[in-house]
Amino acid sequence: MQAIERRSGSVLRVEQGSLYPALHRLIKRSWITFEHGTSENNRRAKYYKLTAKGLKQLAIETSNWQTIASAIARVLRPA
Amino acid sequence: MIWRRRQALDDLDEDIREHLARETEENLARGMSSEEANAAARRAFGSVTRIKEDTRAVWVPIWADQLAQDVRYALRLVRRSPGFSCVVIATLALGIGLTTAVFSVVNAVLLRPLAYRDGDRLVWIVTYDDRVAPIKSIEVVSAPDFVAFHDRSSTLERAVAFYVGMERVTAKDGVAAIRVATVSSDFWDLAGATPALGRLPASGEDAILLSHAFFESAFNGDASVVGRMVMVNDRQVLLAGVLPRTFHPQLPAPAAVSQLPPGEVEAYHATTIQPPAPTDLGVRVFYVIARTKPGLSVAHVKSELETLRADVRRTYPKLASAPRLRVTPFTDVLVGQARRSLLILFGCVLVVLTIACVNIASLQLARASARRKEVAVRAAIGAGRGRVLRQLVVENLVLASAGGIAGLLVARAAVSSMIRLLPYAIPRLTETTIDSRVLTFASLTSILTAFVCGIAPAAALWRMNVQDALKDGTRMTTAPPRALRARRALVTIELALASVLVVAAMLLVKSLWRIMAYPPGFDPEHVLTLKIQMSGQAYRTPERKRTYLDEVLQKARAVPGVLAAGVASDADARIRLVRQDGPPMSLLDRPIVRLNVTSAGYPTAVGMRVVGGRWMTSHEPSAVYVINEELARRYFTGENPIGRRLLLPNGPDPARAIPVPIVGIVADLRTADLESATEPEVFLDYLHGNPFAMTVNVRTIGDPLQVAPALRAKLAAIDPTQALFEMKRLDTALMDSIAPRRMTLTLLVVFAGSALLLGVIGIYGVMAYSVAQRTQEIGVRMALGATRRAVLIMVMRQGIGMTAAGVALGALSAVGMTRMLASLLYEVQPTDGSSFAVAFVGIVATAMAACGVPAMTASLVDPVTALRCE
Repeated sequence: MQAIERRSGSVLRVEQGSLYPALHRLIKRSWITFEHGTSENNRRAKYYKLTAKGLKQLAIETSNWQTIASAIARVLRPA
Repeated sequence: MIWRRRQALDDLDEDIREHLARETEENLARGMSSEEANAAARRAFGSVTRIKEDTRAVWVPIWADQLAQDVRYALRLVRRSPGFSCVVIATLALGIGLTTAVFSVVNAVLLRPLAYRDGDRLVWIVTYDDRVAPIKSIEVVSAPDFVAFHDRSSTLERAVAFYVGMERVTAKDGVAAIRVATVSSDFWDLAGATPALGRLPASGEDAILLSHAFFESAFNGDASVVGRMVMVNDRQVLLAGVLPRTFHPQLPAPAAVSQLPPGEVEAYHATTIQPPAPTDLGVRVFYVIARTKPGLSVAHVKSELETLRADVRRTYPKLASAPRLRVTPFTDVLVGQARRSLLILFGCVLVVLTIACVNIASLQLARASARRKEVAVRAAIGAGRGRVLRQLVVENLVLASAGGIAGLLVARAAVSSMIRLLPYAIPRLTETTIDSRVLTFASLTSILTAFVCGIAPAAALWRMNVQDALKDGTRMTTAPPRALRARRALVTIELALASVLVVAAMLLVKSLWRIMAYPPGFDPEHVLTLKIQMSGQAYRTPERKRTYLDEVLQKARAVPGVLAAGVASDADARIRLVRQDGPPMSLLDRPIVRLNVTSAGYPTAVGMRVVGGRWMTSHEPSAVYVINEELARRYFTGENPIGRRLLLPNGPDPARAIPVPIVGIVADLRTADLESATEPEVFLDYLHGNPFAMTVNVRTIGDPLQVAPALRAKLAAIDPTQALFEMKRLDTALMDSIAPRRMTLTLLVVFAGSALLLGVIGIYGVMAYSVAQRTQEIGVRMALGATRRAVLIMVMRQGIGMTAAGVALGALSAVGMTRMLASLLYEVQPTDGSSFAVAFVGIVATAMAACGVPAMTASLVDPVTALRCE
C-alpha cells in the first residue's frame, strides 16, 4: 500500500481498507495464497504469496497493460 | 471453494484489527497522541463496516446474504407468534397433505406406466353380446377364436389367454386354496417374467410357478421344493420355479368362473391351448391380453381380428360365441371406473387446498394490518418496496415449507391408512408410494400456496402510505375498512367452496344409504358366508357333489347357534331362458338370465322373502324353478308366472331340454355385489341342477363370527382335502363389494369435513377480529342504551350476511358441479333436494355456532372497561 503510494509519487493513493476486498478477490481466483506467521516485531501477521497460476496471470495482465498503455501513449503522442 | 471462503473470511475481523493496531503504532511512533493516532489510522483505512461488507461480497453474492437474513427474520417471526404460525402450518399441512395423498394415488394409478414392458401396446380383447345387458364377467374369448388370434394374426405380437380361479395346492402343511392364474405360453414373455428360482415352463409342460409371497408362506422359502411335483387339484404338476418378489403383473380379475374376491395371484399355471375340434361349442373361454405390433391403431387390430373371426365361424359351425368383438387399450380396462372417481376426488381436494389458501390469506390480511407499523418503519429507514415484498414472500415460503413437510407426513399417513382399510378399492392402489414425482408435486404445491397466500397481504402493504402508518398513534393500529371487507369476501368464498363439497358428500352419503337400504327380512349382520369349490377327481359327478352338499348342510345346521343353513351357487352362471309356451326363437335371440343353484334352507338363511307361490323343498320329486320379481316383471308382464314352464338346458342339444314348472316368486335380492343391477334370476334345487362352486350361508343367533371356528371344524371334517375359504359375515362381504364407492365416499366426506372446518375457522376469525376492533364502539353503544340483545343481534347479522352470501353462491355452483358426480350416484339425482337442504342446514348451523362465540363476547362487553381502555 505504502509502496504503491511511494512508487507512484503519491499519484495513486488508495484507501487502505480497499486492500481487503482486493486480496480476497485474488484468493478467490487462486492467484495468491496466504499463510500465518509473525512479523519482525512479534505480531500476528499474514504473508501473501503469488501462486504459479497467479504468476502466469500477472504476466498476462502486465503484458496486456503494457500493450494498452503503449497504445494509448502512441495515440496521445503529438503527431 | 467453501473451505477457502471460510478460511479467508474467518480471519477478516482479526486482520482488520491488526491492520489498525499497526497503523496506530506507526502513528504513535510519528509522535501523535494516542487518540490522534487511532483516528488517523481509521481515516486512512476507510469505513470498516463497508470494507467488511465489500470483502464478504467477494465471496457471497448479496442476494444470498439478504435471503439468509430474510429467512432468519421469518423464523424469528414464527417463534414470536406461535399461535398464528401453528394455525397457518396446520392449515397448510391439511391442505397440502390431502392434496399430496390424492396425487400420489393418481400418480400410481393413472400416471405411472404399467408393470408390463411396452404397456401402451397392450390390448384387452373380448367378445360380447350387445343384445343383453353388459355383464363384464362373461365378456370372454372362446378357444377357437383365441387360437386363431394367436396363430394367425399379423397385428398381434403376443396373445395370452388366461383365467384366475381358486385352486387347491398341496403345500407343506396341508391343502391351501389359492388364487391361481392359468396362463397360456405367451404370458411369460408378455409379463416379462424371469424366475428367481427354477425356470420357466417348457412349451407344453404342465408346470406351475409360485409367487414369492406364497413360496415363503407355504413352503417357508425352501428352495429344495423347486423341481419337485406338487398336487394341484389332485393332479401332479411340476413346480418349475418361483417368481421374484417384484413380479406383480396386473391381471384384472373380473369375477371369473367363481366370483373371486380381489387379491394377489399366488401361483401361475402354464397351460397349452390346443386347436379345438371343428365341433367345438365354445365352452372353454378365456380372458385375453395381447401386445400389438408397434404403431398400429386399436381400430386396425380390431378389423383384422374381425376378419379372423369370420373365418373361425366358417370352420366351427356349432360355435356359440358372442357376436361382437371389442378391443380396448389395457390401461383403460385395468383402471376402468377409477379414473373418473380419482379425477373427481382430485378436483375436490384442490377445492380443499384453495379453501386452506384463502383461509391463510385472510389470516395474513389481519396480521398485515397489525404489522403496518413495522413495515412502515422498515420502509422509512430505507428498505425499498421490493425488499419489503421479498421479505414477505420469504416469510410465506418459510411457513409453506413447514406446512409442506407436515403435509407430506399427513399424506403418508393418509395413503397408508387407505391401503390398509380398502386395498382393492382402486386398482393399483397398493402400488401407491411417495416417489420423487410426488415429492416434486408437494414442493411445487407448497411454493405455489406461499405465493397465493401472500398476494393479498402483500398488496395491502404495497398500497400502504408510510407516513399515515407512522403517524397513526394508537397502540393497535386499526385496519383500514378495506382489509376487513376483503376478509369478508374471502370468507364468503370459503363458505361457498365448502358448500359445494358438503353437498357432494351428502349426495354420496345418500347414495350409500340407498344401496344399503336392505329389503325387509334381509339381515346380513347375522349371516356367515363361506365358499366351497368341490374340485378334484372325487367330485367329478353331480351325485358326489350333492352328497357333499347334503352333508355340509346337515353338519352346519347342527352347529350350536345356527338357525338355518342354505347354499347358493356363487358363480356368474347364466342360461338362456326359453318359455315352453313361447314362440320359437333362435338360440342367440333368447334372453340370458342368471341361474342360481340353491337349497331349501336358503331363503331362511339369508332372509329372502317369498312373495308368491312357494320356495323349493329338500325333496322335490322333479325339478322346479323359483324366479325373482325382476324376471316376472320382464318376461311375464301382466300374467301369473306360477305354473308356467321354462326349459332347463340338458346338454348341448336343445331338443333334450327339460320343461320345468315355476312354483314361486321371490323378492329381488343382491347377495353378492350391492352395486350390480338387479338381473332376472332363476333358482333351481341342487338336487336337480349341477352344483359347482357354492357359497354356504348360515344364519346365526348371535354374532356369526362366534360360530365360525366350530363351523369350520365341522365342515373341514367332512373332507379335509376341500378348502373352505372367504369365511366372513355377509354384511362384511357386501361392504367389500362396494369398496370403491366407500373409498370415494370416505375421502369426499373427509374433504367436505376439512373444508367445513376451515370455513368455520375463517368466519370465526373474521368475526372475533371485528368484535375486538369494535370493542370501544360497542361500549359507546351500550353506554348510550343499547341492550345486550341488540348488540348480539348486530354482530350476528354480520355473520348471517357472510354465511347467506356464501351458501347462496355455493348452491349455485353446486347445481352446476354435482352433475359431474352423476356416475358415482346411486338412485339419487345430482340435484337431490333433500341432500342440498341437509348440507345447507348443516353449514348454516355450524357457521352460526362459530359466529355465536364472538357475538356473545360482544354482548358481554362492559361499557365502563371498554371506554376506559384506550
